[in-house]
Amino acid sequence: MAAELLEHLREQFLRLEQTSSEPSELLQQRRRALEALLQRGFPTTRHEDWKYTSLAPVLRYRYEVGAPASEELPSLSMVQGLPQPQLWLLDGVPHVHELPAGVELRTAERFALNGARREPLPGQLVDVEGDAFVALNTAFAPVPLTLTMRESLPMPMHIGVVTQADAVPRLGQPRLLMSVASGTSAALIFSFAHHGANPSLTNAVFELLLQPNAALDVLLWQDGLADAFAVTTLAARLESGARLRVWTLSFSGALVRNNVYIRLAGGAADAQLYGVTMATGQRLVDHHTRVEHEAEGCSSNQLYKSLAQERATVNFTGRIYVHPGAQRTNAYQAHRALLLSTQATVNARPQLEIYADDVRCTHGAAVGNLDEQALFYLRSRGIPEAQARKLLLYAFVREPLEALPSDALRELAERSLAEHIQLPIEEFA
Amino acid sequence: MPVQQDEVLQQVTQSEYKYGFVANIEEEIAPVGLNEDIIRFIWERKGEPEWMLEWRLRAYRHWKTMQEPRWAKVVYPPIDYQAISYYAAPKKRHVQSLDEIDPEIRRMFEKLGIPLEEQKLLAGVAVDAVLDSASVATTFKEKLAELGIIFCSMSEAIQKYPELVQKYLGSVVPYTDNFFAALNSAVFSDGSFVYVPPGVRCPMELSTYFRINAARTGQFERTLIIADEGAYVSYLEGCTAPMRDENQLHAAVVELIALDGAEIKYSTVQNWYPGDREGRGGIYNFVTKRGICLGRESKISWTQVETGSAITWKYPSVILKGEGSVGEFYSVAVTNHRQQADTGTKMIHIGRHTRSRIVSKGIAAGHSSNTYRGLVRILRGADYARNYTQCDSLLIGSSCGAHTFPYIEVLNPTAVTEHEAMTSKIGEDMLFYCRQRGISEEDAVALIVNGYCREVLLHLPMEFAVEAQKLLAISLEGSVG
Amino acid sequence: MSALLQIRNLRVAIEGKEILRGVSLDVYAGEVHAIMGPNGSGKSTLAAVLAGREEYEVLEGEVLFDGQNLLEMEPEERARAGLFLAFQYPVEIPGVSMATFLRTALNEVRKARGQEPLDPIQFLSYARERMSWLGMEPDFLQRAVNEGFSGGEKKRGEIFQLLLLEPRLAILDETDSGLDIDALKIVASGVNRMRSPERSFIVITHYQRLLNYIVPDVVHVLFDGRIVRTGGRELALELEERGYDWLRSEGELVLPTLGEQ
Repeated sequence: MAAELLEHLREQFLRLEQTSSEPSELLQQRRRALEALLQRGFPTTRHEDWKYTSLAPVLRYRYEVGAPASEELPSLSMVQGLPQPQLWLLDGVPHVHELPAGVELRTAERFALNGARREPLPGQLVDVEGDAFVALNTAFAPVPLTLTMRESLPMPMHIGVVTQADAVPRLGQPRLLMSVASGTSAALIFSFAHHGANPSLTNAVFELLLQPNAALDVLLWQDGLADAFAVTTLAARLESGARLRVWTLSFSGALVRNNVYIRLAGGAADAQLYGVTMATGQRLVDHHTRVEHEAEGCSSNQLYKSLAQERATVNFTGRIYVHPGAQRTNAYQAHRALLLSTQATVNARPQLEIYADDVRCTHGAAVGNLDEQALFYLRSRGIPEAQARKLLLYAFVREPLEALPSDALRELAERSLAEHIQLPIEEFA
Repeated sequence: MPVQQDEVLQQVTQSEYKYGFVANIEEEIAPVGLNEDIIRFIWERKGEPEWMLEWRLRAYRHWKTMQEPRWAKVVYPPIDYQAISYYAAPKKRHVQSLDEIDPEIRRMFEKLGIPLEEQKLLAGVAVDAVLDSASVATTFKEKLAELGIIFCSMSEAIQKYPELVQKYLGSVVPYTDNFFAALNSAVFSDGSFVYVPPGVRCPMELSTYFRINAARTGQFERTLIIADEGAYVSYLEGCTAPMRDENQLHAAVVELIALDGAEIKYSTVQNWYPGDREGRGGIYNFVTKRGICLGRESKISWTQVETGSAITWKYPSVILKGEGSVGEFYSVAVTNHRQQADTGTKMIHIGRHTRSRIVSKGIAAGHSSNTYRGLVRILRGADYARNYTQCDSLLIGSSCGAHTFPYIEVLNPTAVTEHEAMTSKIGEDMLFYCRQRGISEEDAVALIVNGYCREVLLHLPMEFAVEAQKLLAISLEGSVG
Repeated sequence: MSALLQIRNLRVAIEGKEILRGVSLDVYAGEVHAIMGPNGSGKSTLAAVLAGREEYEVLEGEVLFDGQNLLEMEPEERARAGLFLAFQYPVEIPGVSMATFLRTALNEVRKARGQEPLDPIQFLSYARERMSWLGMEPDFLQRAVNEGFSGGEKKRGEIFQLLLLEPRLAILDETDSGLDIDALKIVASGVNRMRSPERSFIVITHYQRLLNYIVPDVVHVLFDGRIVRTGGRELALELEERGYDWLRSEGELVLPTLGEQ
């Protein structure tokens, strides 16, 4: 299965390579990535990082890489209530609607041709050859992009990530290297969607460079993936005093893997990771986080909350890594899940790896079920059981949304969550 | 507990590893290397029945197909399994009574604080002394026999109670389980055997004292403890080894079986030679310990204080099969200098209403590496299972590492699991407070660490608790200042 | 006879900020000195430096304790030489019983004085007698060091340790803060019981109230890192009445001359 897909990918690569007009440097990087992928193959559950996530359902299809011929924007409705995206990434190809002031978008191709490289090329923050999905993206991402934010953005920028599988199974691979200038602040919302009757795999690689004292909020809003597959890798490097907050809202997708890798490279940097997961049906959601404290006086916090219903599986692997010399580190991590069905599964691996002594690091992981007493209390006040249950689920899982940067966003996210729990909006508004 | 503090503090100023001497005992040692002939050699020396040879050979053949596990967070050069001698036993060991024990052996155990004369023993502790590969003495046998309790060496059990051994040996840790368990099954030469009959509460602590003496040997003991319905037994295990520049391999297997309503309490104070400050020498401690709560309402409790060994690879586990059974794991692991420990537990919840509790305290000092690795697995049928885990780590100095790698797998919606972990530095404010009252920094560290581990130490039988406190202090010598 | 404690022009900083800006003080055996001053004046810094906290940087000056250079001694050496600090915020040490902690401390101090260590039985009777003076609960010794103690219990515990260790110089760092009047009386009675011609006290406090019960021989006012006034008991009453603000203007006038002394 995986072998067929790999062979299919290899053939496509050879075709693409022949017609490519990219600079040789980029092509070489692509070829190295492909060779690494072909050599190592896709990970199996024997790989520690994929212990609880079998890729078998994903690797069953012969995905077409690259974008379809049509360049027209399909009529897509993204997250309800959000303004339409200012930037679309359709099968990894950018379609600019309107960029906010102070934001620059360039293709890595042009970037490489420029010669005058003041900013690093894509691939700085991820393991281009060791990580199969990063390698896959590096080999095939149709248009690697750099997005530079030179000024503070007054409003969140919305980026729509869509993979279209109308005619054939498709592999959509956005590749974005983002840089936030010193002392500026911005918010980015990535909303994910699948389109079409065939299966799709969205394999996104986002790299983030936060210059000193930059502040960035990122929302990964996985609301429109339906039964598609997605692997997202978000890797960030924070310089001194930088602040990053990432929310991963995982409400859709048959098999979704979210990697969030943070390096606190400068002193007094701060990272906050939040996750809300709502897994129903046969969904499998797998969160991987790695927060590396490399400098002194940094802080990090992770709060993930999950619901596993029906036959769904939620996996969480989170690592706090404190490098030698990263003194005065404060790092926290918590994953709390409710397991709500006899067929559902929750696996948690909270991990601490610590090589400095002046630290305070904690993690917690809890798996349980609904508080029966609270349920009884609500019912004794006349709320029907089904309704009371949903209300409690909603109350449990929404906590990470509280810190969202604006009331408007929080309300949108809450609305979206409530819809997935099938809790009528009026009940809690 | 406060009573012993003085002794603890006095110990701090004493030698670093006081059990490091070599006793001059005449031993028969098998030729170096491992092959089917060696296994036959061991089997012959022990005069075992035919079925044991078959079992050993099956284990050996399986072992040859296996890879040494390398997933633990420990680093060591490849082990040459053909450079080890797999059998060493004192020549004068077939004794009818304790009086006939080789005086050298007697002296050695006395030096270790383990007198083999019954009258000299601490009241209420029966001892099986295992030297290198062989059990040399078991005390209080007759008294225990009156209650129907069998406490003897494994060799004796194979001869005298083959039906019990055949039924349970390998039933909790099959030889296919892992590389070291397979090796142990092929070459183990002795160990302790305990059987407590239905309804009997063992009136005294049973204890095995393990000692590696001979050079270039490995120790591969095998312990099997069966508590029949409603029985109770508390078992203690202690270990030391001489100081040698080479590394020595210790690959033991312990199996515990608790039937309906039975309870087994297994305590270890592991003080194998840890190697010197630079990491030369020391024991490689690769041990498989597992218990099964087969019966309803049965209970298995592991308590361990790990201060020795160059490398510790050890996960005392409980399979909670019987409805309402209980598993516990209380652990203190101290590493200093270049020691590496990767230790923890597995709690496998199969039965309904099963409960487990894990309390782990890791203390890392010097250039050491200290890892907690644990698994809590709640299977689909384990309705109302509960687990509570707390694993804390303390760092002393900035060159060591403390790591926590729990695995939590929950497949049942009525189960509740809770895991909490915290890693921090030894409190500067606590140290200063102690020092302002006149206590030296090193003593203050010992005091604070003992307090930190109190919850675990409380689960040790009294005699061991004292020993463990002293060990903690000694292990942390030279970790400050 | 020279003073038991001699502080000469002590200048101390923490994280680059100068807190004590030239403090000089002589405490003779048998004397009780009160050091008063507003928040942030440097009172607790003085206590911490005398006890040997390492995060403070001594920029200049000298401290002699019984003729020895105190600033060169480790915290435990100072304790064994007879310097005791009653902490403003006594730290909790989980899992370590008061009995273990105090017997270890007491035997260290006794060893330094050339006395025999006390065995557990002797220690118990010695400690229980002193507990009764302060009306302490019998389970006190079995509890973990300061763990779960109320504010009052912690302060009483500190005074109990003072009774136990019998230091030559006791520094009480805001021992009165957060105490009700009954607890204050108990604390004061413990201290008064220990007053003797050989023993000295430095009582650091924000309020005059404690000094109604522990009557000082000398009162100093610490302001902005310097002692701006020294007087008798009546100085404390004056501060009670007028607060510290009047020193602000006066301080500015007075300080230069004091600083040059």
